[in-house]
Amino acid sequence: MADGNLQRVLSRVASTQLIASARAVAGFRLARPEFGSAANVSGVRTRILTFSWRHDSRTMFASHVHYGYQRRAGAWTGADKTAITACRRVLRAAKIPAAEIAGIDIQRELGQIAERTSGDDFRVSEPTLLRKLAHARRSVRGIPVWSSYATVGLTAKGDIGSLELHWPELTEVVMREAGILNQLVKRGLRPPDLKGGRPESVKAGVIHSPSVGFFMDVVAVVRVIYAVEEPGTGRKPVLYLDRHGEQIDPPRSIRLATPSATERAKPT
Amino acid sequence: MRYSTGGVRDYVAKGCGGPDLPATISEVRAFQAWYGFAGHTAVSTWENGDVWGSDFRDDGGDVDPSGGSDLPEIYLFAGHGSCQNPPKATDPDFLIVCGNFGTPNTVNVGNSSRWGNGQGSLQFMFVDASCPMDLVSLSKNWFPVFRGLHMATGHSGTSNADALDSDARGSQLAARTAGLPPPFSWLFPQQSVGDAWMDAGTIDIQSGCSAVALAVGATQADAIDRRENERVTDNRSDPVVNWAAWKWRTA
Repeated sequence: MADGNLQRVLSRVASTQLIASARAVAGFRLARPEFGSAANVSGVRTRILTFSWRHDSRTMFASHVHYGYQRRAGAWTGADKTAITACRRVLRAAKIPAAEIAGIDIQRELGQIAERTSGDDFRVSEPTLLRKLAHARRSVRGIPVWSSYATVGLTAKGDIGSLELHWPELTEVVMREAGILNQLVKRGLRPPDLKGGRPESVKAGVIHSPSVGFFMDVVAVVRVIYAVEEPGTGRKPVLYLDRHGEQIDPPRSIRLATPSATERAKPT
Repeated sequence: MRYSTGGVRDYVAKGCGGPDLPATISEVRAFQAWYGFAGHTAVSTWENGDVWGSDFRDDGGDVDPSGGSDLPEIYLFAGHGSCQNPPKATDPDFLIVCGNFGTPNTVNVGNSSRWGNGQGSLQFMFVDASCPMDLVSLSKNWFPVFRGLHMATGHSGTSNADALDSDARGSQLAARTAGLPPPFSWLFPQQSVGDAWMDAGTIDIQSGCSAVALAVGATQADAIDRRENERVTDNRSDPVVNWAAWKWRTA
């Protein structure tokens, strides 16, 4: 089939389910939407609303073009409960098992401005609440799945303004391995030494590829977070280990660029 | 647009303190891959000892043709940064490299960095280096660096609420800001710099750490509009620094 034909056939085959899910999960009513599909993601959109999902993961994106601070549809700054309830509704509609929802928090986005008065002097105003987002965390049988989440932002009226659900299916094999790693941690697994750092946290869990990407790697790990010993220095090293204490490559999002083969010349 | 990256994993072997940061290299290479996919052009992509402190200093080093941070329109730095506990309004913010040349390795941002001035072109400075964008000292350390620069992103936190070493933040920031070719441009979220960093910058950070995005503008409305809506592909003119507008989301 030629590309154009394939897209038309794909649209007929896949659009109905997308449109139905957009309505069920995001409450979006999409009349005669445009369809698009490429690589591992497809979606439908109108001038205002977009809904898409990945084919290789339970990952969905929804957005309202006018959602946001000082945009036409505005952003939710009201009661936390409203945003949390909307997030729960999204998770239920996406068929997320209730037992996997470790918690739903409200994340506040704050803004501030300052006016230059002279030179490098500025008059700073008080912070303003720009929006609230409901953010769901995941655990399975008590084991955290650090990379999974659902984030829901509402318009000023309480409709879905943005939605990102990244909650890939986990196989029994992965969870079994996570259980073994959890046992190892409980039995005092000793993390490797890291010069300049000391272990701050050792936990078993699951990590996977991020939401925007072309891969979906899922792996059970022991995550070791190291505190930085040098006072005043930050960005804490993290090692992801398998059952043998070997480091695991991070889950991919895209094929990495090739590093430069040359060394930088000494300054003249 | 032209972009550069500087990723520093190796600190210990050359006596630059430490610890090493294993994820920074995959972070900058993923960033390059997304920006390359979107059709942007790499200026420099140095790693480890080839990233120099002078690259970030406004003493000529930041326009060094071999890798200055003020050469491209977009720059991502991934490495160590300062993280006081707790930070005070008078504390400086530092980027920390471990360069083969161009020492000192510690860059005092507020004192030494100026972007977009003279021969400089930088519009977007992405810092993924712990917490060298502390909210409490933002006006002292970060307002002065805007000399044509449009936006800067980073983290505010403490040693107990820090950013973890992660390649996902840089990767997702790139995927959401680069302006991917259609239909990826709408199948995946394509966001303003501020919104993208609020989402990507809160990945793999400890509770209490904040992703921060800072813009400037000629008027209050201009600064806020840039903070909320400016995309790397907008091709907006350089801002006049009469107002600053910033936002943050705390994990």
